[in-house]
Amino acid sequence: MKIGIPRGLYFYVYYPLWYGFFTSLGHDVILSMPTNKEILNTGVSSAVDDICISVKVYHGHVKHLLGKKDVDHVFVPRIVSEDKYKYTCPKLAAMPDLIKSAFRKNEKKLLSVVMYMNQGKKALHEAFSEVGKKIGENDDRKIKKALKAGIELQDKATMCLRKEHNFLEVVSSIQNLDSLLEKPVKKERYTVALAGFPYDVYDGYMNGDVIKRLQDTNMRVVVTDMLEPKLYKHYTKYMIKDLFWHQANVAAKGGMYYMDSKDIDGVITISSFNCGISAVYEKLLDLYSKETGKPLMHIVVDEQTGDAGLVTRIEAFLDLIRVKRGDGLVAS
Amino acid sequence: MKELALGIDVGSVTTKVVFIDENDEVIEGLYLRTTGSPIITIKKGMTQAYAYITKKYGDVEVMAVGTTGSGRQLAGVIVGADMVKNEISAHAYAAIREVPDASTIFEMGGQDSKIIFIRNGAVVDFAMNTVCAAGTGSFLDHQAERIGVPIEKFGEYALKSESPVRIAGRCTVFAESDMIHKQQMGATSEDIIAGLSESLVRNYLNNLARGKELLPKFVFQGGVSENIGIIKAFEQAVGHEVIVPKNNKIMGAWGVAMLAKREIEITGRQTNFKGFKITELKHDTRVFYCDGCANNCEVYEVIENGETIAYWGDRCGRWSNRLTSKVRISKK
Repeated sequence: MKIGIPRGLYFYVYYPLWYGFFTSLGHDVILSMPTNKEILNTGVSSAVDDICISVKVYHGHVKHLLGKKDVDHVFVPRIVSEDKYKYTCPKLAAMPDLIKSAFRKNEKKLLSVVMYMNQGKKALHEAFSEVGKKIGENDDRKIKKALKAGIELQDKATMCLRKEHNFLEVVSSIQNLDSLLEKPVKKERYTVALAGFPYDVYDGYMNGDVIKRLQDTNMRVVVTDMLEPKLYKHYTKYMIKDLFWHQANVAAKGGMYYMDSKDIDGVITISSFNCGISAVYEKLLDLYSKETGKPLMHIVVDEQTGDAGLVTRIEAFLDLIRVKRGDGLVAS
Repeated sequence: MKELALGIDVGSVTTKVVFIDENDEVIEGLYLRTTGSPIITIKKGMTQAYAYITKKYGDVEVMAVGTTGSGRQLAGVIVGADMVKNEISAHAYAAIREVPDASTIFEMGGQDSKIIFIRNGAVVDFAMNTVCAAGTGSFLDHQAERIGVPIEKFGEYALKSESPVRIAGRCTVFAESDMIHKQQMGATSEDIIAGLSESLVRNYLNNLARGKELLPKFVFQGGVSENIGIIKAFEQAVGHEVIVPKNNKIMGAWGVAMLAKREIEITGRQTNFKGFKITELKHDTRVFYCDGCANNCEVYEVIENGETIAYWGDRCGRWSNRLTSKVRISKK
């Protein structure tokens, strides 16, 4: 069977798990193509009006996969929580319903399941058994084996992230994560940290190719999902208490950790325009940047984002970093 | 022979052409409305400036050229720039030279407005309006036309007002309906113009400064800084003197001319300047949609005497990489 996975939202976190599970059961995984204008446009026209661009783009990816004749199912999981008492954005938790109401005609093709990522292997096993049943796999031994393969792959992907390989590299070398692990990361004179939800940070079409732009000017780019959560646990104290949303915690505390790191020259947050959750961590980082004096810039994207202003701001931010390090504006 | 450096700032509404001498002083600065194509305006500016400086100094040699502004890339390939710099860095550089202990720079241009925070002579933070044109020169221009007062007289009118009326500055559309309403209620043009100036400043500070620390000295530059009414409104809002430097309208072009000069001095390279003969060359631009993938990028092509000298606008580099040997665009 061919299982389609939309390249959006939690794809940028749990793709290895899903990939490992489905391929181990002998199915093919088909990814939608990286976001482009067509995907964005179909997404914008099929999603409800006042929702963030990340969700709209996700609609586009689902539609793209639904339009492929050889895709049997499109995997749209409902991820509710990722950590104890930490949840996902309510819009993401409602994803299968939103998708169902947008694409009623293809309802049968949608493969959806409720997932709690924080409740241990047993809960995961239950969830994936359900997925298995829906695609005709009733053998519990096989499910267990496939889940184990998925978890192994996810762990390996996490190791790659810890070694500062970004998630896009993980995606492109998903079949060979071992060699990615061995691959050294290039050191550069400057390092810029990106804080934000993985699906905003890694979707280059949406955010004006921030990662590529930075790498092209010889900047090392690190992302908050590369950090071991233990490293930034203590920043809860600064925030008085943890935020309700897991990914916002990662962005806020990870961003603060990077602001305190000597080898990080500046932090850029990336968020989508009407994301209320981002507004919270952005403000927290604003306050922390004031204390540490580490350069911080917010990039907010929506479907109207033009390139011109974005490029100017990225360039000016890099100038600011260079000058701060004592390098001039010229001949560097 | 007198050695000069040239700076060109191609903005959305105006184009600035500046020549500086060996002491970085501006010997000729032109401020032109970008009518029609920016290429024509650039050439017009160069022809005018050339006539003026050769009359005054005899033969001259241009040893460095820099371009900035939203049209910096285009201007860069047309004249052969040594440095293509974003306008934030260029503006800050000129402002710091003029007012070395400046802490906050307000810059209002045609469609962009920026705030730049300086500490110890280096940019530490900045913000730029992204999608909204309220709080820029275009907004004022538009309203001046409505009221029927020439924009040059706006400041004068504002100063004559005894009790400025309150006008919503959030959005041009609301401001306009507010203004019409106040006119119909019987407010004088003076009071309305003063109210507009205040609302413009309020909107600017709300949008860009966003609770950041505003410290003196304040520098105000860009086209709108010609307007005495806005200067007064700023002084009232920040409760401090606001300095309008000399060359206030051409700071970006001045800054990038100095930066280009530094670049050439430090690297010891020869300038890329194509010479004043470019004003006689035929330049065309062409836009087409690339059909390489679903992105359908708008690709821009610059043609000089029938030969393509630059492409841009494509996300993947299919076109822009074709001419790397010929196009000299600084990546910074």
